Amino acid sequence: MMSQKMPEGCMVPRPMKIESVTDETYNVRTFRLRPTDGNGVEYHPGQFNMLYVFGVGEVPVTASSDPYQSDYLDHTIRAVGSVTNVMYKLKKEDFIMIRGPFGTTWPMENMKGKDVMVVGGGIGLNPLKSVIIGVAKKRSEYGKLFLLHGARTPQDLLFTRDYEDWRRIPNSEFLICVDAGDDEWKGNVGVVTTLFDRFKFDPDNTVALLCGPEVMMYFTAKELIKRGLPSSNLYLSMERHMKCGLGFCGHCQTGPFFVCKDGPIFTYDSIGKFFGVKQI
Amino acid sequence: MVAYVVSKDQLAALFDKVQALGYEMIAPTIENGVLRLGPMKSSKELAKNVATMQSPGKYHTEPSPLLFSFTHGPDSPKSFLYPAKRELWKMTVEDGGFDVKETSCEGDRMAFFGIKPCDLASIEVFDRTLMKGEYVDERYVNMRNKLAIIVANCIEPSGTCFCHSMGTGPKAKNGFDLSLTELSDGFLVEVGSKLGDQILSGFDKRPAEQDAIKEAESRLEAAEHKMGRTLVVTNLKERLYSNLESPAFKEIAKRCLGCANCTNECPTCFCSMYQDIPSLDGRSTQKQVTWDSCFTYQFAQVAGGHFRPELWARYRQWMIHKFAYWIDQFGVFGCVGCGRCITWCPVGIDVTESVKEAQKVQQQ
Repeated sequence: MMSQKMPEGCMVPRPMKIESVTDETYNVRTFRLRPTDGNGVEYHPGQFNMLYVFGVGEVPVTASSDPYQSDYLDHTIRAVGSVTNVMYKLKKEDFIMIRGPFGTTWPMENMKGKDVMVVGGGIGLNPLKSVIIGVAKKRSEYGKLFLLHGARTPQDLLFTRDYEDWRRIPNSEFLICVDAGDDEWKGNVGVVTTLFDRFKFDPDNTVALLCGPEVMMYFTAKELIKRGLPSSNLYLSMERHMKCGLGFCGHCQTGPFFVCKDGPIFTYDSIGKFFGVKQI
Repeated sequence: MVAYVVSKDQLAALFDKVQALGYEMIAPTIENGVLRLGPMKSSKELAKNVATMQSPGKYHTEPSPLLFSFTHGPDSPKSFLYPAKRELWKMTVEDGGFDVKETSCEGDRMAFFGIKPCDLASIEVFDRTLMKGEYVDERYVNMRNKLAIIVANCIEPSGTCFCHSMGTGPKAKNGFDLSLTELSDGFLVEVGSKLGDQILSGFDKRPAEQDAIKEAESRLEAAEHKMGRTLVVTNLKERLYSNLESPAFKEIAKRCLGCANCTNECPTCFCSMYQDIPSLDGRSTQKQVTWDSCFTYQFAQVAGGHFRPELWARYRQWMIHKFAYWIDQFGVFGCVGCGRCITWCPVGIDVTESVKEAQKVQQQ
């Protein structure tokens, strides 16, 4: 039988102090959180934390910070629900508490030596940012980096302050598009799959990481498979309602999977067959 | 397995003996015409000579010549091992920080006296969910490890029972301390553990003779054929996986109220809600865990959308979870065949029929 005790930090949230707040878009902010107990943070790209606001509630969010340091966590929040609307208004020196990290990770090790394609739809770029930072920091360990980001409007493009740095990552291609442009928009218009005609990749040597609305991931996965990418090299990060992060509350179930502990990162091989099933 | 015969008038004494070992007794009693499972102070409250009459959406009790061979009511061990409401921790604002107190997960030693084989099986299903994975529910583990189980085998199944199909009854095979099978004269008592031995030590009993063992066997074999419901479970997981999009779910959902009675009654349903209960002055809050149900509208809703907005998809989630997903998750069915979800469904939806319908419609 496995251990009969819960690992530390699984049930009771740990206070973190907000060190800085950065506006990303009109409704997205990044909070840099530092532990108040003097200990570091442990986290692998793709894993999520349950972020807790005192007296309000918890939400599962993947960190967006540099995975090669353990002093702080960056968490990027869009104000959409009852918890995130409160969290969004928190200020420097306020507290956000965390439980975690939970769940599976992006395949940082398995990607070594391969080309890496990162496709983020909207706020879905958030869980991929630590991959971009990680690949850029250990540039020689990975092949070419393809960075694709689609958003609804130019105002919804995420992490725009980082684009200059990302464009300078050696051996990389960075493409963005929006569903609907405005008068000033000169870039690509269309869903993210329309970007695939604008560059070439080697399907036999590429690992693709997707995160975004399920319909976006569904069509992106289909397009990549059509272009020869093996489904075993296709990874995606799933979103579901979560209460516990431990596989007890049942809310995140998708087919036979608990997204919290079997995911949130899945290979398309495993979860793909449930993708087209309505309201699974 | 060592077996004895105990006379029928010793039933209360057996209860008293377990109680005297320091256990909080959880046992069946009759309350407002319904068999309830709950904490019991005195063996005088034990339900006796009743039968539970169950059919889809219907339940009542009747007098029975059998002393202690009724099936069950709405309560199952889940209510005590994984209560409907409990506190995880309490947090208070302090100068420059927070003070957190985890709620104690200590509790009295409990003895289930007279639960049924299906309910015993449900505890084993729960073990897989809460104490055999990467994470454990410490309160559950705590209660579970000091539990005493006296199971009463079923010789008179109810009209909604199908434990024989699910392989969990009518006879409990293991996992108990003592098992009782009612005979025409007395009970056959089988010993399943050291604690069982301890309970029977010094107790008025005689070694079971072949006749008693044979009578118990034949009564339990007869019970296998008296199940009110049946279900073919061979390759059921595979058959359901290939019918995920069966139109039957939409038909069933026309009758389903989405009331969540089935998941509350189910002895293995574990889904729960974690919520904050803040104090009025805003200085403290407690984290509360309550039972939840995959039938509620909000269950799979997120701020950005809804994964199961329609009731048919929520019925499918529950049914496929029980008979297919559960096997992939925990290695067993999530259904023990107790039939409670059929009996306590206000509109009498019969899960054994639903499982059949989900496969049938697709083939046409």
